Amino acid sequence: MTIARHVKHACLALIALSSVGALQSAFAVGTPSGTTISNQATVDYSVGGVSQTQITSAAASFVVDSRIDLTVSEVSTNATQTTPGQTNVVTTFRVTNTGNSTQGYQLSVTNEASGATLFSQTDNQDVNNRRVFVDSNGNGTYDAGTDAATNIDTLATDADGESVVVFVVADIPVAATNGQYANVRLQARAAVAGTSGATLATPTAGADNPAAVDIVFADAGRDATESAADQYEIRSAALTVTKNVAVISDPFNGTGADRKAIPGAVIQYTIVVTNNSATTAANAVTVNDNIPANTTFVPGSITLNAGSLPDTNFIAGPPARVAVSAGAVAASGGTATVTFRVTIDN
Amino acid sequence: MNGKKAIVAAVLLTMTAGAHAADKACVELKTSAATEQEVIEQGQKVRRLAPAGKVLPGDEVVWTITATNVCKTPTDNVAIANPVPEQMSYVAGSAVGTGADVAYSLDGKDFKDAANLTVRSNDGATRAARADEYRAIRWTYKNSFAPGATAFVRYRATVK
Repeated sequence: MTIARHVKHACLALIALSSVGALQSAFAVGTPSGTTISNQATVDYSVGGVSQTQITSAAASFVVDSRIDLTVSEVSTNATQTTPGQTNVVTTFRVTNTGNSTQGYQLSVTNEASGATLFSQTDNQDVNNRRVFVDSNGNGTYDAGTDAATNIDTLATDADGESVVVFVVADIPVAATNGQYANVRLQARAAVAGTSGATLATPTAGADNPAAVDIVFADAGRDATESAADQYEIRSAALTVTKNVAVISDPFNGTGADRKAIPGAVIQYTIVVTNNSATTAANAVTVNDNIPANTTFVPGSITLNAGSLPDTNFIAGPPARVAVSAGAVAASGGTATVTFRVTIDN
Repeated sequence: MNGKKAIVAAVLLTMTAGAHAADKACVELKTSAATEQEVIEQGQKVRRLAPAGKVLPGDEVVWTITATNVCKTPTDNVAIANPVPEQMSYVAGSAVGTGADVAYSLDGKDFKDAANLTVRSNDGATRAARADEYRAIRWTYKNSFAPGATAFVRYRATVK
């Protein structure tokens, strides 16, 4: 029987390949549980050359039992991009009832162990405050407050084109760093329909009752439980900052080659912020630098990326400082350059 | 001439009456559903047919039909027919019946050999019908059934 069934499945696969996917789907679900399959034979015959009235047998029948099967799949086929400290980050799954009975499902989510791979990327971070919500309004988007159910109450079979979207919502640790991956695994266990996932389905033990709908777990593990993983990809800007100092002029040599950092000399500081992230721009970058002791800020000397900035970017303090909003710094080596000048006090 | 006709008619009437005299049907027909189930017999796992047990989509069910001549006269031209239940697919090559010719039908009316069953597709081409398209099976016996004789036929079908 086992071998025969394998052969049969192979045939079905061929049919599906050569025709439409819908056929395969229909086969995967099958006749609804509880359907009574009834059969009556007829016989025609004659006696002494005379045809007799056709005879019909009593009906023989049995009830199709409940085959519990399900699939859990990750929807996006790639990692969800996020940043350190981001809250309520959503990944999306789909739960499909591939059995032949309407079913409920109990849902849970866990962090995957370090080293688990998905999308060719290896888990090395965990996410916090993991929650599961069912897409109650069926719009495919997580709506906080509206999508409040945490288990699937009732899901018709895939034959009716039914599946349901499930969201995992989690917070990313502030300590996560650029290029880390956090895998989460959504698990669904078959439950009795209409119990909000509270009452798990149990297989019917012992001999079949031909008149009743018995329950058989038919999923891969024969445990009415399936799961799928999705991934958070942590992306963060990777900023470095360098600061250089140059003497522009002194009171005796002017801007000549011999200018020195003596009292009264003008000094220019150049601060370069570089984003070494391959992927993520840094936004709202601000550059703050205190004016060194024994120097005095030169009004009108602040520049950002070679453009002059007003002196509103200088704060008299104390501490006296330059504070420049540099805006976005592009990924892959983008820079923001701030310069300002001071004079060395006499 | 007229006399001869009258005699023939009389004979026919007698025979028909005789058949009726046998008190209704001369053939008793039974249908049963079974599944192959694994049982332990003398420490060995063996497969046995047992009344249809847990049946799930994709499972195979064995339908068995027995026909018994319960009259004191032989019955001739016995033909057992059985529609494949709507929710099931006939398993190719599974119909058996000793001494019977097996024919199949796509509509439950017109029976042919498996080799002669064709389906016309939308583009006008014809192809051999697939076993899962068979809607009925018929077993026709060439030999008459002696009084008390029982024939059984069998086929397999999977639950869709």
